[in-house]
Amino acid sequence: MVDHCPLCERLKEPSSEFCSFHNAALKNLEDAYSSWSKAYDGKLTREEYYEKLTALAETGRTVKNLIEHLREKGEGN
Amino acid sequence: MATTLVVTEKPDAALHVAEALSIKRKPKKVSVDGVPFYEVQKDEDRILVCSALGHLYAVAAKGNEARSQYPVWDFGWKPKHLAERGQRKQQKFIESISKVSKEADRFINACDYDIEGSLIGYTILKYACDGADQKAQRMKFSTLTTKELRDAYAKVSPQLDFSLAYAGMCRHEVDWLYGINLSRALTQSAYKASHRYATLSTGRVQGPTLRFVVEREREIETFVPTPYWVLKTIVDVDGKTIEAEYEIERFEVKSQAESTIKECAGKNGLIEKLESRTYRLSPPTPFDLSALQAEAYRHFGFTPRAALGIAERLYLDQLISYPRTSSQKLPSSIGYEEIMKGLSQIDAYRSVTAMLSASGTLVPNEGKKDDPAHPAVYPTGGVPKRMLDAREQKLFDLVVRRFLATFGQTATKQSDKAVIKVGDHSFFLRGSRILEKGWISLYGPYAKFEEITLPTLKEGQEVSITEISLEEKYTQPSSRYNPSSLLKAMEEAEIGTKATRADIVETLYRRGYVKELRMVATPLAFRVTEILTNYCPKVIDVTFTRELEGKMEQIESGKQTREHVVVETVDYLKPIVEGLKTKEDQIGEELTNIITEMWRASITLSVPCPKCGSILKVVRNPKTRKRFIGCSGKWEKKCTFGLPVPQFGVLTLLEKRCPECGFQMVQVRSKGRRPMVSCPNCYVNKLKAPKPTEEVTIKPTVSK
Repeated sequence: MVDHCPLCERLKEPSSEFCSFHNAALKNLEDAYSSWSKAYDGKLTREEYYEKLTALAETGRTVKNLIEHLREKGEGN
Repeated sequence: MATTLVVTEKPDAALHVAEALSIKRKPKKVSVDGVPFYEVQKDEDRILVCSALGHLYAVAAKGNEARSQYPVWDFGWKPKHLAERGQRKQQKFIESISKVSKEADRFINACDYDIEGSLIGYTILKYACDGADQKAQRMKFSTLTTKELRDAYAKVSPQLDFSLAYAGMCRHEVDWLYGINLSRALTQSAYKASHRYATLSTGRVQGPTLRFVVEREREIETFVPTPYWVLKTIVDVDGKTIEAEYEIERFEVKSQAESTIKECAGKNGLIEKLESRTYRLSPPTPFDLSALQAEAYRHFGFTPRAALGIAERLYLDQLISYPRTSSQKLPSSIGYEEIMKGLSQIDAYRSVTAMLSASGTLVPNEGKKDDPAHPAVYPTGGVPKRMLDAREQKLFDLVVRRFLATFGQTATKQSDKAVIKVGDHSFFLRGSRILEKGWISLYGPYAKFEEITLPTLKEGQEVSITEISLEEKYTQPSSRYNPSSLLKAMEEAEIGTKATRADIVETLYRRGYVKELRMVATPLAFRVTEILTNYCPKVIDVTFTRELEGKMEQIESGKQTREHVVVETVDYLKPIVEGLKTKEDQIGEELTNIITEMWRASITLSVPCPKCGSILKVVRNPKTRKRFIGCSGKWEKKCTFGLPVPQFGVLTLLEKRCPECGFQMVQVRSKGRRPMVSCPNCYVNKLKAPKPTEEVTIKPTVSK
């Protein structure tokens, strides 16, 4: 059975929830969290992080879709 | 009496060649079956000057298979009207040249001196003139001025530049093999799965170029910004407020920035040090084509293709030299003094040329790049014989001023810096000014430098911090390519040629792979690039394309044969294309949804109907076939809303909204024309608006 990425039509990467495109977005999202957290002296929760990113025009569209998906799954808390 | 047939590339060039070669009388224009020729009597000889219309021959499949069939490996050169649709004019030219060639006993190729020109002349002489390529001669020139054309005729090369022509043939053949097979593989796969016809294309250079745009879009789409803070500081120096920079350009931790503010706010500082540095700014190098295209985009917003088109018109008007050049050299043989003299006849350049001529020996600041065929782009010194349109005037002025600036003196610039100490913290005041203008005054409006003058300052002087605040900023994703920066990326990657790059960029728009001036890759571009990456990654690999480019260049220098490169290409492509054929269903499946979505998106507006709120679409009237914006609430809500749209060209619905009414803007692209952006709603409102009352001018009557 062909397994598609839950966020687009692309195929999932082996042993991953997403396709290569959304995995790249996920990696960037994870990597940047430490910079954001450090910027606010470790006082930024993940939900606040997602909220700030969603409001920014600079944030990529794929990243915003991914955040929405993660929030729906309850991974923002 | 001998008859010479001179083949030129375009009708305007034919006229200039004929005029240059006829010393005593004007050339006689004759028509052979409706195609113009120029007859010149020179000494005892008769010269017939004819023109092509660019390429009259093209690569085509040998058989008469359907246009959808692939793989195709058997090809040959055919008259363009047999190879492509809509080329009836070319047929008449071939027939007339062929007829006239029977009277000739000497043949000269006088097409533009580069790969394409050599190939155009070679194919005409070989196929239309019964193998005259073997005895033909070659005129080589960089401008269409009378002097240079006469020189080129007097020093005509005894034979054609076969290596250039073969390199050109090879490039066309290899590109054809790539384009026809890969594009048909994509198009057919999509058609098989969706039964919707969409022209999907890729090519040897197009594929890697599209990949640049897609990779940049991917970077933007997956970008996560990070915050940083900068201090905004205003200092008061003797009653004058100036913005100062803090020693740390950006803070990555907010609390650190806040504590800096606490330590400095409301305090006075001391000017600890004053520094000044002088820089020398060398004149610019002469224009090669890509630099000309980049400057034309920067100053006038001309796309690279438009800039090349305008430059070619100026070349045909004998105003500038041949623009398709990679050279940044201006050899003295072009005659600097003569050019200056010519330019001095134009009011705008009179004083500048006089100043340069009086300054002594003219030495241009040449760049490193060279081109064996042509010098850099330069003005011929000719004065426009017709009224140039606004775009032509702008480009001509740019070429002239750049040429003049290359002969200018080095400019000098001074940078000033004052270091202000507030406790342990340092702030800087920066200023800059041009000390000696040199070449900057010659380049006119195209040399822009911002001058910031600092007030008189002394070391030990006290200044007060009147304002210090925090600005939150975010890292930015890379900028999208624009046609000019994409062209530069292609040049840096060494893919394509100066003659083809601009066309490839245009093709990306025509195929629906990119939209907007800041090139946004569409979902179709993503899908096609992903398919090629998955099924045949080498096809879009820049390194591979560059290697092939290198082999084709070796043909020019005689180190490689055309046959060898073509055979190698076929050997390489065969398994790839055959592999794609076996995966047609799979590829088609991957393309189907995107094509349907793209088609839907291409006709569906994002703004709702202003009358009933239903979806608006671009539709065609079944009777007249005219396209217009119609409301989908026509049947259910009896809505009659509709707007006309331009009937010709590729219509794209833009994301941009009209600043006046907020309606969705549309863009129309037609080949060889500037894209036209308009608001269909405002267009209609303007038509409906009452016309201003006509002014009646009463002429005074004059009594005799």
